[in-house]
Amino acid sequence: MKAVEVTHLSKVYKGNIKAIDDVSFSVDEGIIFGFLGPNGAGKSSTIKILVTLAHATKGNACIFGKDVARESSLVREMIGYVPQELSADGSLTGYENLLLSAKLYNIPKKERRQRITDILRIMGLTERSKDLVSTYSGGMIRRLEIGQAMLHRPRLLFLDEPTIGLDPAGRKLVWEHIRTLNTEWKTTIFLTTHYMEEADALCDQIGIIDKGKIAIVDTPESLKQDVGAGIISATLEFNNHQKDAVSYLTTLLKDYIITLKQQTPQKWQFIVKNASQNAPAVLQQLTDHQITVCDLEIKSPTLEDAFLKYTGARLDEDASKNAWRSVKKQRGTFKRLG
Amino acid sequence: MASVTNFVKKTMVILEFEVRKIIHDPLELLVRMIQPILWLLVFGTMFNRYKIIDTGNLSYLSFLTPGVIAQSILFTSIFYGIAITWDKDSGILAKLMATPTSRGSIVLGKGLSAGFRGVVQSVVIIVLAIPLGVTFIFTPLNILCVIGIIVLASTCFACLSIVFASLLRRRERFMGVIQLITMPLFFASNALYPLEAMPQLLQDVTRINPLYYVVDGLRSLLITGNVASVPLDFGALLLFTVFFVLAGIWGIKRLME
Repeated sequence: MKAVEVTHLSKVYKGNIKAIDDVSFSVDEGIIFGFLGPNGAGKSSTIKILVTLAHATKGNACIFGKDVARESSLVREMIGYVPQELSADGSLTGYENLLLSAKLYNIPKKERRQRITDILRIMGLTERSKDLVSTYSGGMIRRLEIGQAMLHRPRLLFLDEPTIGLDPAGRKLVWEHIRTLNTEWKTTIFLTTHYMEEADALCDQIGIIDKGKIAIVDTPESLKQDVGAGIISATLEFNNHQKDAVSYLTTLLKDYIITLKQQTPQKWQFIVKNASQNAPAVLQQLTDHQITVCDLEIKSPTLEDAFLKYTGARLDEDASKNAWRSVKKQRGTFKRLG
Repeated sequence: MASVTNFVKKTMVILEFEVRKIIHDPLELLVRMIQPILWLLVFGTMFNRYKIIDTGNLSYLSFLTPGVIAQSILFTSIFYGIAITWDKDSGILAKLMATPTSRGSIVLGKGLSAGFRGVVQSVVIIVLAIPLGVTFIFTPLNILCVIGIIVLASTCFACLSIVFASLLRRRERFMGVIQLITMPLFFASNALYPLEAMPQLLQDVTRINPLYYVVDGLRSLLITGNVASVPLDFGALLLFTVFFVLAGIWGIKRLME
């Protein structure tokens, strides 16, 4: 059974604004699925429908075979959800936040304490559990929120921008937790992110949405390969003098390269199909023909290149900064209120 | 049956954690006590001394005290919606609504927490009024009915506030509109002066003001002992509360879309 099955889903807002336009895709059980797209592409609208907060205008979505609109209470019991915005309550302690989730998710009374203690330990929050959450750092709040969403051991966990605004150390820690949940607890994970390296490091499958439509769903590896060529830059010394080095090299490497460019007399740049796989063969061919390779640099296509290909938009650094700024602003208010 | 038990259980959970929040930070509760105390100590004692308003054989302070209780409930509960806009702007409400908790439990639980504040405030006002010479009627049944009215009234106004919050969305607009409606609600009631002192038109308007039934119920039970109108007060208040709870459910769903 698919963890998520979306068929012909559309969401139209007032003023005939199409946030999602006839979207269909599915997510296999047990994987980490990354849902990427530029701002306003329809990511949030899709997630809101999947976690039963909003209704689709057309089409339907199922979580483990249960319809999100008609069987919403069954769906809610199977999922955990961590919104992008801060969702732990600053005016309660860490322990109380977990206790609230435990009660809302119907965890039997005799198991509550043990599960909360375990989650606090796993998330590294035991010592601060009796402090108000308004005194926590961003990373601690994020870990608490993920812990809250894991208490009832959901089969599917939705994480909306799980590491936005965290420092590199905090981010790595959250990544580790996400991986542990996936491998040890067998939780299927559906996450959105603005960070390409995050998607690359964590996800088994990636879906790219653009202008309300799914552009592609594939593994990060094939997405990168799909972009095609990588670049090999090399400094070469010709031991047998060639009159026309350009055409000589073109013939020599014709099986691998698409084009080449002589940047300086010694410096060359080759656009190569499957650059990282073909690099050894290119190197072999050059040495076989008395050409010394002084240095070599391979630039494989990145997920960012793939994203660019399918959306025509760079995952906007500014946009992610803006989003973070609003979270940060919120956090300021949060602290004042808390 | 199982779903009813579940509804009650979840409502109590929401209520429990709202009360925990109030207990963690009682400052707001204390600050909100200042206004009713001023009404009682300054306005009440002054008007009492000069017998400006004719309240029959009741002293003005005795007449006023239930009004001040109602006023403090109204002025506190009516701002409850601000907490909802806050929960909406952060992810707290979204996360709450993605848990297996019915929307009814969320709205009612939060509304009832306003009742907790209401009861605490009322106790303080009553304790302050006794040394000022106000005599209350205390019987177990009376106290139970008074608590019932206070909780109903707080829930009613808190849910009304949730409805406004979901219609207005932005905090600034919400504050403006709420301030606009609070005073008319207060003045078009029998909190400060008897109904007979008002022009006929205002008397009619008063009948659709939930605050009228709150004041009348509290005054009958605590001061005069003429409880004939109490069932009507309860009935009307219950009707208003059910209506605003349902409207509040519609409101928070709308807020999430």
